[in-house]
Amino acid sequence: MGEENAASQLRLSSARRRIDAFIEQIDVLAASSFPHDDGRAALAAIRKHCKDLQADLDLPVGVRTDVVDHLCLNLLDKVDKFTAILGFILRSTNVRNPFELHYIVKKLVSRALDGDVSLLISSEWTYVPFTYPMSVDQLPDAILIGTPAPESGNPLLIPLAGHEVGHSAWRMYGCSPLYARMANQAVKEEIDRNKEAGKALLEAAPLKALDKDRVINQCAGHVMEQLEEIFCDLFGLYLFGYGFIAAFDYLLGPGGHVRGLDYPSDDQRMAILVEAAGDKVEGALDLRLDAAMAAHWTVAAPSLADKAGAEIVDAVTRSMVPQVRTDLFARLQSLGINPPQQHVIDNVLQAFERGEPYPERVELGEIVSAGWHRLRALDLAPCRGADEEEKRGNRSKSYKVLADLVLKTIEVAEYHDRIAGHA
Amino acid sequence: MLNADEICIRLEHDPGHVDRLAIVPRPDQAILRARGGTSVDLRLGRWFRSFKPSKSSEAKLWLEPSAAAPPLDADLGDLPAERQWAPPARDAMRTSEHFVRFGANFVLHPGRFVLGVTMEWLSLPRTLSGYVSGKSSLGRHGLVIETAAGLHPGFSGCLTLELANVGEVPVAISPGMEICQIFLHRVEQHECDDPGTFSGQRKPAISLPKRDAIFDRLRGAEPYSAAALR
Repeated sequence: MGEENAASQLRLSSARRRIDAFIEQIDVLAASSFPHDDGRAALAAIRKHCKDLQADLDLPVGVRTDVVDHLCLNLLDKVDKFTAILGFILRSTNVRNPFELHYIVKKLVSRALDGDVSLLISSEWTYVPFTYPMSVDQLPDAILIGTPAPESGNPLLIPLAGHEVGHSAWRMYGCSPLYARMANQAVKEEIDRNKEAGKALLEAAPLKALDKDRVINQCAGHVMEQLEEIFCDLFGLYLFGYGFIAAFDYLLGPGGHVRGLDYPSDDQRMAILVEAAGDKVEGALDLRLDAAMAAHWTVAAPSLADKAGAEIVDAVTRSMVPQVRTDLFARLQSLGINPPQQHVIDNVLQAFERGEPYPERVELGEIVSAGWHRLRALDLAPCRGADEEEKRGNRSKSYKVLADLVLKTIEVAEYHDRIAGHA
Repeated sequence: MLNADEICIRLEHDPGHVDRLAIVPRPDQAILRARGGTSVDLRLGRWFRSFKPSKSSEAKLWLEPSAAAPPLDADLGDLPAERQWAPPARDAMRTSEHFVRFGANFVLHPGRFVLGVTMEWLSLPRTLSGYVSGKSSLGRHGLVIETAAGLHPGFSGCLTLELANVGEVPVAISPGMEICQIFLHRVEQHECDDPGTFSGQRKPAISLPKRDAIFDRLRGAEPYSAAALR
């Protein structure tokens, strides 16, 4: 018993040291220069939770070992989780981030999610596009957006944040219960319709026909996962228009990444975006796409084992996309959000071509879409210079000027809102 | 020198007009005309750049051939002589950037110096030049802004401001406040391919003068070469 007590005391001491050190680190971070209040507020929320964890460790001598172990495990789990967030908050203060984005992105996200949110925009060294939904119970209203660190100063990548925010919208709009029943029914019908793939799928199940419901549920689960990803893409598309497709193409093109059943393939996602942006589809956004958007993407096939399942899941997902798109676009419209307007994009683009920021209050999606159009034009234009190095230098400078024009136009939007008392 | 009416006329020209002046965000032309002066007030932006304390005993204000400047993977032996001349340090190595949000302050202590930037982005036509000047109301509190900086025809970008506190008490400056003024002059139209080293930037810029071959020759830094003078 005495040995057990001593072991518990030592474990508690270690846990106290861990949490003390963690809180001390939070206090050091709090002294950083925060570009906006949201980072400091997030830090304060985490600190408060850590102080509660610290207080939990004030146990009387002789408490049961399993209670101590449970507390220590809980604490270590939280510290692990918070450490990643702390790093994120620290990186959000780095001046390589374009801080001008904060106001306008926060405003857009608050409107789309129909509520107040706090926003942290940071840059990530381990960035993988579209797989960064970091959420913490203690920061329920916080949206964390990580951009790839080497290009953190590039405002044209911000449309991809639309996808991440889409995951929050999927939960907030209650999409899972809305589509789950439909997905289940559609899978049943597809298995009956596509006899060959349906048979192969059911035969691959350990209990064959007896296992039918489990297989159907599993497929419906994959459909729901895929639908959520597509919903997020469409969410980004609605908010950022052409800018979203261009950023998607920039970071993921030409596709061909290995795929599982929970994700639609990159080429499928691109095709869905292009269709939703086209002018021949009911409920489309009518965006002007360029040649790159029509380019073929590498088709990523699922593994052989998943082939039959993919056939069923992909077909069901495809059949449900129009419904999801219509519902989403109607929802966003009901919140008073309009997709980027082409005539506004054209006006902003003309200003960029003259080397000027746009002087009026326009939406973020319109600014970044114009930015992408300008970037594409610069990519295709011959560059001046006596030799290759000078040409590269001039091209690089023109990209930097464009990024500055985009960010200054974003700042001008904030300026107008503040002057009008809307900020 | 242009008066308020002439400045407003140039601000109202359509894009593409040879005399068009752009200032973004646009100044309030009613106020500009009512005041009837010959300058446009500009506001302080949100980015600042301060100099870091350094181990170096001095900062040379000219370009040196430097082994440290070329890219990390460059083999100096393989570089042609003219390529070995490069800026001695990237901006980031000698300075720190700061972002101050609207509603917050940047405190400039006596004797300290910082680079700021105008909130406005200017695009000058080829027919205008100008200069930046501080505001006497701020100067009387010790805040000195700029030292007769010229604005070249065709300049496009935000203006970098050299801000120094030569007074005896710390002064707080805040983004959005009127910080300086520009005076504009008519010039004969001419072709100009180089409107300025810092054109097209939203952050305070820092750089050294362009390489000066005559200066290099005078101080014996490099044997004379015609290529260097180009």
